[in-house]
Amino acid sequence: MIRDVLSYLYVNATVMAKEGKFISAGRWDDLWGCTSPGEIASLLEGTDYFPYLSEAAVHEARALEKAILEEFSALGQEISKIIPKGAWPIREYLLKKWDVINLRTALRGMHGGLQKEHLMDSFLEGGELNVTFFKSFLDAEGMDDFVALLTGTPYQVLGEGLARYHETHNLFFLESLLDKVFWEDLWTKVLKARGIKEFREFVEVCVETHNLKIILRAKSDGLLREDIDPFLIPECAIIDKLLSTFDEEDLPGLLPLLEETPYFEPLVGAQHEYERTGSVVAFEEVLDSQALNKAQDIRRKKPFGPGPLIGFLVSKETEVKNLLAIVRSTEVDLSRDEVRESVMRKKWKLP
Amino acid sequence: MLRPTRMKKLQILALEGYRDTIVKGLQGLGTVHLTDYSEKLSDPPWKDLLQPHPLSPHVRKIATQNIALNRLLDLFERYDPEAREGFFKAVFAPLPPKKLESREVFGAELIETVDGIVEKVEGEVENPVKDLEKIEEEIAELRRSRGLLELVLSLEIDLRDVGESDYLSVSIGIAPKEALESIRERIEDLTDNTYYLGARETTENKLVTVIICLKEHASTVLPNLRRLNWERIELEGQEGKPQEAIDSIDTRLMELGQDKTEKEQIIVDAARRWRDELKKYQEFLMIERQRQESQTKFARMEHIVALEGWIPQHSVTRAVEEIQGVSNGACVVDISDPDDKDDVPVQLKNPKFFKSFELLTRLYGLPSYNGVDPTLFLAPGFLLFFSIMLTDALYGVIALVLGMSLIRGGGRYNEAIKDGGIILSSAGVATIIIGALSGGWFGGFGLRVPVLAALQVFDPMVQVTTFLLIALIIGLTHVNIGVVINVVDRLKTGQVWKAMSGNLWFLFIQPGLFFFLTGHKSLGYIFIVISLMLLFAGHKAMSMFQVTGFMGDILSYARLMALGLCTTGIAMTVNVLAGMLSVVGAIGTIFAVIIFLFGHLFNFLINAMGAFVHGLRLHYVEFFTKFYQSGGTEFKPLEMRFDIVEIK
Amino acid sequence: MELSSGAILAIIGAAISMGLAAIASGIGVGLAGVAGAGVISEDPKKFGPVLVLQALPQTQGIYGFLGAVLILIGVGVLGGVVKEIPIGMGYAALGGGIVIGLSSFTAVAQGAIAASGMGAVAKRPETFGQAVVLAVMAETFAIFGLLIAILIFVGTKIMGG
Repeated sequence: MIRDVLSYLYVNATVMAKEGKFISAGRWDDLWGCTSPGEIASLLEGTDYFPYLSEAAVHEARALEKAILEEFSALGQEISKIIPKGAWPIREYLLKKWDVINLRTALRGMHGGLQKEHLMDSFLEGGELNVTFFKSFLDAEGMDDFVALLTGTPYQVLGEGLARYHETHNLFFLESLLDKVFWEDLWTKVLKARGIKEFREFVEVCVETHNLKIILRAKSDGLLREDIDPFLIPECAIIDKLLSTFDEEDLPGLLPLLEETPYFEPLVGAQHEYERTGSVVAFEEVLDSQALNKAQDIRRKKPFGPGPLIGFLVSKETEVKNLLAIVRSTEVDLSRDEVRESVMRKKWKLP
Repeated sequence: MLRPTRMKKLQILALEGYRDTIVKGLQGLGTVHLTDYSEKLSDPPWKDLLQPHPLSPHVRKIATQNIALNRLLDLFERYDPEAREGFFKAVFAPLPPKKLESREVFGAELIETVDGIVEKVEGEVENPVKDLEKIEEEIAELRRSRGLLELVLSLEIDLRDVGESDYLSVSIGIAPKEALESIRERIEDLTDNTYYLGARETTENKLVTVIICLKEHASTVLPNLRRLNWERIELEGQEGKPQEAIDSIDTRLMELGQDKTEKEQIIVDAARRWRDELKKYQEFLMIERQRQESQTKFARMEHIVALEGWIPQHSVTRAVEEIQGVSNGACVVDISDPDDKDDVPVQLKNPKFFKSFELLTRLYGLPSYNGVDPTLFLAPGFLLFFSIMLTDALYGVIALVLGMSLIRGGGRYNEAIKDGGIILSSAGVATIIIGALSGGWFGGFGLRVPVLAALQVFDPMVQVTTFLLIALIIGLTHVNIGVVINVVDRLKTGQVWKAMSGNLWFLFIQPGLFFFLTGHKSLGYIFIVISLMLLFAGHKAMSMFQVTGFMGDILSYARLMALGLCTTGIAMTVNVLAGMLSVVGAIGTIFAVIIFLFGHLFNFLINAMGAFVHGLRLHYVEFFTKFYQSGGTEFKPLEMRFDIVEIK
Repeated sequence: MELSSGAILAIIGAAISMGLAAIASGIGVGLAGVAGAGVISEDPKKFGPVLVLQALPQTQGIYGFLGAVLILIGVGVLGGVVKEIPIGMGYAALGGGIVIGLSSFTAVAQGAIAASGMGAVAKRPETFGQAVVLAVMAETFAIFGLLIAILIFVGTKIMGG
C-alpha cells in the first residue's frame, strides 16, 4: 500500500501545485468579456500560459491558440516524465493524444483547404509521431492521398471512413475513426495493465461515450446498423441492446434502452434541446461532460492513488478547451454573454 | 469582549448623480464592507423593483491602462532589474520601504494623466525596443545558421554552390545513418541515375549528405526524401567554406553585441527616470479600480442606486455624517441590526498585546459572527504550553532574542512579522520562567552557577510522575475552561437546553467523583447521577463516546510532559557528548564546543517547532472543539490602502 | 568488560528504540519529502510551509533517540560506569524500547498525511493550519508510546533510580 502511495506522491503534489495556478474564477469572469486576443493575452499574465505567448499572440487569434496548445503540450511532456512506471497507460494517453491532435489539425487542413504555411507551424511536439512526419502530409493531394500516407501507422483504418466522407463531405466520420483508434488502443492496454483501476474506469467512460455518440449521430443521419460497425469500439457492453434494435427504433426510442446506465438521465435532460434544435450536438455535449465528471469523481474517491493526476489532466484539458473557445469567439465576434453561453452550455465545469 | 466587533447593516439609497462621490467617501472612511446586492435580486420583493448595477465602463479602461503600465515596468525590470532584499535581510533588517509623496489623483484626471505618461514613456522606448528586437532576431538567426554550419563543418565545399543553378540543384541535408541506402535507392529511382550523393558522418549516428541532381528532378526528389526522415538544411546566402562562413558570422555577432548594449542603455535610462512615477500611478489605478468595481455589487432603478454593507457599530455616526455631507442630503441612509439569516462579516477585536495572537486564531479559521473569539484564552494557554514543552531558560532567551529582532527588523514595516515577533518573544519570556523553575539552562549546564541552581524548584528528569500529573491537571483545567465557555455562551444567548445537554455533564462528574472518593458518598452519588442524566439526555447512544472522548482529550495533554522531557533529555545528551569529548585534549575541546553549540541550536529548533505545533494542536483539537464555532467571513472594507504612495 | 545479562537486554532495548524509530521516521520524512519536492518544483515560494510539514514525522525519530538515551543513562553506558542491572530490569528496559520503536511507526502515516497536506497547501495556501493539525493527529500515539516507556522506566527505577 505504501508503495502505491509513494509512487504517486511526487506527481500528485506537483499537479496539485499546478492546480493552484489554474485560472481563477474571477479571472474567468474577465476572460468572458474579452473581445480581442490582446485582452486575453494580458489576462493570462501570471498564468502558466504567459511564457508561451509570442508577440504575435497579442494580435492574432491563431498565434494565441498555438501558444495555449504549446503550453498544454509542454505540460503533457513534463507530466509524462514524472508519471510512475505502473501508470504507463496514462503516459500512452498523454503521448498519443498529441498524435490525434496533430492528425486532426492535418485532417481539418486538408478538408478546409488551409494554406500549407499555416498548417506547417500548427503541428505540435509531444506525440509519438514526430512533427517531420506530419509535415510530409502537406504534400498530399486530396484526402485519399492523405489517408494513403498513413499506411503503416495505427491510423490507416481511416481508409474505412473515406467512402462516407466523400458521400457526405463531413469530417465527423473521419474524426470519429481517429478517436476510435485512440480510445480502442488505450482500452485494450488498460484492460491488460494492472493496478490502475481508476484510469480504466475513466477510459471506460470515454469508450462508452464515444460509442454512444456514434450511435446517436448515425441514427439521426439515418444510417443502418451495418454502416456503423467500423466506427464502434468493441468490448463495450452497454451498447449491445442499442445495436440489436438499432434498425427498428428511432432516436427517441433508443434512449430508454439506456435506462440502467448513468447516461440515461443526462441524455433525457438534453432531449428537449435536441428537439428544439434538431441537432445531436446537444447529446454530444452532455456525453462529453460525463468524462469530466468521472475524472472529478475518481479524484475525490482516490486521493492517494492516480486520482489527483487523472482529475488534474482532465481539468486542465477543460481549462484549455474553454480558453480556446474564448479565443475563437474573438474571431467570430460573439458578445460576452454569447461566449459564456456557448462555453457554459457544454457544462465544462470550471476546475 | 470575547466576540467579534458588533456590526450594523448599512443601506443607502442615493440619486445616481451622487453615486461616485458617495463611494469615494466610503472608500476614504475605510469602514464599510460592501455586500453583493445581486444575490437578492432574483427574489421578490426586489425582483421587480431593482436591477443589477452594470459594470462601470471605466473598469475596462483601467484594466488596459494597467496592462500598459505592467508592460513598461516589465520592460524596465528586464533591462534594469531592481535590487531585492534577501530573505534574512527582509525579515531581520529591512531597509525602510520606499515612499513616494504625491497628492491624490483620481477619476477622470487619473485616467488622463496615465494616458499621457504611458504615451510619453512608450514614445521614449519604442524605437530602442524595436531595434533591440531586430538585433535579437538577427542574433538568433545567425546563431541558428552557425549551428547548422557546425553540422556540415566536415564538408569541404563552397557554400555559394548550394542551391539551384541553371541546370543543377545542390542541397545539403541530415539523415539517420541507417537511412542512407534507402535514400540512395529512392534517388536512383527518381532521377534515372543522374545524381550525386555524398555523405559524411557527424555525431549522434547522423549523416550529413550532399545531394546534386538535375534541377527538374529536385521538386520530386526532395519531398520524397523528407518522408525518409531526411531533413534539409537551408544554407542559402552563405559564402565560402563552412569555416569561413562561421568566422564571418562571429564578426557580425560582435558588432551586434555592441549595438545591443547601446540600445539597452537607453531603456535603462528611461527606467531610472520613470519607474517610480509608473509605480505610483499603478497604485492609484488599483485604488480607482477597487472603487469602480464595487459598483457591480450595487442595484439600481431609474436614477437611483442602492447599496448595502456592514459597518462596525462605533463607526456608524461618522459614516452617516460623511455620506449625508457628500451627497448634500440627497440620499436615504438606513442603519439596522443584523438578523439571523445575515452572514455578517467578522472583524476580530482584542486588546493590544493579544491582537498579535489573532494570527494563531486565523490559522484555524475565523470564528462566526455570533461565536466566541478565542484569542484571549489562546494567548496565555499557548504561552504556557509552549514553555512547558521547551523547558529551557536559555532556549527561551534564544526565542526572545529572535522575537525581538523580528519586531525591530521586519516588524517595523510588516504587521505579520511584528505579530510573529511578539508571539515568539513572549513565548521566550514564558520559557525563561518555566525553564528557570525546572532548572533547564542548556540542560543541566547552567546549574553550575549557584544562583541559577537556587531557582530550580522542580527536576523534570527525576520527578517524572509529578510532571505527568501536572500535565494532566493542566489538561483537565484547560478542557474545563473550554466547557465553561461553551455553557456560559449558550446561557447568555438563551439556549438553555443546549447549554444543559452539551458538555455540562463533565462539570458535574468531577465534583461527584471527588466527593465519592473522599468519603462523602451520598453527595458524590447526587452529582454523578445528575451528570449521567445530563449525559444520556444530551447524547443518547453516543454517551459512551463522550466519556472516552474526554478521557482521550485529557490524556492528550500528557504530550506536555513527554515533549518537555524530550527537550531536557536531548539537551542532557548534548552536554554528555560534549563533556566526553572535552577531556581528550585541545582538539577534543574544540569539537566539544562545536557539538555543544550546534547540538543545542538543533535541539532548540526542532523542539521549538514541536512546541509550537503541539501547542497549537492542543488548542485546535482539544480546546476549540468544546466551544468554537468557525466559518466567519472576513471583514474587508472598501478602503484606500497605499503601499508606496504617501498622500501629502 | 563483562556486561550483566540485564545490561545487555537494556542495551538491546535502546537499540530497538532508536533503530525502529529511525526506520519509521525515515519512511515518513521520505514520503513527505517526495511530495515536498513535487510542490517546490512547481512553486519554490512554498518552501516554508513544506519544510514545516516535512519536519513533522521527524519527531518520532527523536522520541526513539530520547528513549535510547534514557536507557543508556539508566544503565550507565552514558556516564562511563556500566551498572550491575538485574535481569528483570533489563527486560523492562527492552519492553520500553520496543514500545517506543513500534509506536514510532505512526511516522509513516504522518508522512503520508503531511504529503497530501503539502498538495493541499500548494493548491490553497490558507489551509496550512488545518494541514498541520491533521498531520499532528497521527503523532498522538507515538507520544503515548513514549509516555508508557517513560512510565516503565520510572516504575522500574531505570530512570531517577
